[in-house]
Amino acid sequence: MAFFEQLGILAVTPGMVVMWLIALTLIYLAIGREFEPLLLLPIGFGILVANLPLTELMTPGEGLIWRFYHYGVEWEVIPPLIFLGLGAHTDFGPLLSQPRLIFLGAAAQGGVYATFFAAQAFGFTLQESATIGIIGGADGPTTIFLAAQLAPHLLGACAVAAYSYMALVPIIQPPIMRLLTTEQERKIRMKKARKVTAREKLWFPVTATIVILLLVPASAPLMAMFMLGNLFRESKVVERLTDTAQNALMNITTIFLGLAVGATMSADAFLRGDVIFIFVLGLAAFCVSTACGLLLAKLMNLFTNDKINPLVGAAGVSAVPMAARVVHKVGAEADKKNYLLMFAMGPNVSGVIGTVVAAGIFLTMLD
Amino acid sequence: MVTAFSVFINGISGVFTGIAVLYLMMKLLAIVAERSTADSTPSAPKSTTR
Repeated sequence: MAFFEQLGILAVTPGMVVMWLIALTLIYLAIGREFEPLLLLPIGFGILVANLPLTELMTPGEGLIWRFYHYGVEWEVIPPLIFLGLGAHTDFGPLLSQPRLIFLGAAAQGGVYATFFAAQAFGFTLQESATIGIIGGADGPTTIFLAAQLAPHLLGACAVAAYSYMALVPIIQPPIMRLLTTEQERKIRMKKARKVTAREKLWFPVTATIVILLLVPASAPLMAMFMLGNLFRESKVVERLTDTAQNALMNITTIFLGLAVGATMSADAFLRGDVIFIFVLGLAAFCVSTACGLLLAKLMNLFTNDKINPLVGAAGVSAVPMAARVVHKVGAEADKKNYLLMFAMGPNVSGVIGTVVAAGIFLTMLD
Repeated sequence: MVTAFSVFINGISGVFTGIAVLYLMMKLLAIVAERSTADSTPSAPKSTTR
């Protein structure tokens, strides 16, 4: 009987069952623990439905979710649209008021390159190593953007690793921060930042776009959209567009992105020995990035009287605004009246720029 | 030929160059913005006391 021959249950493999468990774990973490629920929930569901046999949701040219993936991710549409929303959410004021903190965002890319080398040592190709390394930038859309172009077969694992570690920032970063700083350093109070004019905030996205795209043209899709979103916000004349970019558009693209990324994680693509290395190396990238930001802040303190609290260097990993909140919390443990949040937002947003530039350079050299 | 070392050197130098240029741009932006704000600020009325 044809009906019974088409029963999905007859085509279930042990690998699929393992993937169901992974999917259900992610769905539990998203709902029960609220770990990055906006992403992990659709990713978890995407993994689940992609591993139900005979559904053909990911069949090239036919499947529904394949179309989301092909036109949204492979065609590089969705990550830049998410960057449009991120730009519309971003306030560059804290960075503009303390420009020197931008270097902490650059230093935090150290983890990206350290892990790039480590991945090479484990036998990954240059393209795969770059994709794994960029996890250290703690920026989900950039990781997906780069993976889709350099190593599409690692996209699912790298995206889940990036978003999982971003959710775990409050657990991963504080021990490193305490290890690399003294109590005295954590108590450093930074001088009150100057007031930034509305005009500066308005000019920044335009001038930054010109500067960055002249230097790293390959970063254009992400950087241009990021700065356009910010220009919407700072111009104050397109409230409707700002609101759409911040909310409706970002929400819609997040649904498609999460579902498509999750659906790339079929049992045969995910249950491989090297995937465990991706998670280990991704974690290492995150830790080294945190350490590099902290250490550069300490180094800068050797040459300036206006001391920087080294903790703010840890916010150089993107993970906006979670990393900045963690900095504030760890700083407050040492001195309750030390308000570090706004200072940490500077390196935090510069970390986003640094990661996009790093991804652009990888693309320039390896694509 | 692209090697891991050349990617590393280009990457590190590229990121720091980009960020350094942005830093200079922000400094310049602050100077220009402050100057133009100062120019457009109405001057304080002159004292009329004798």
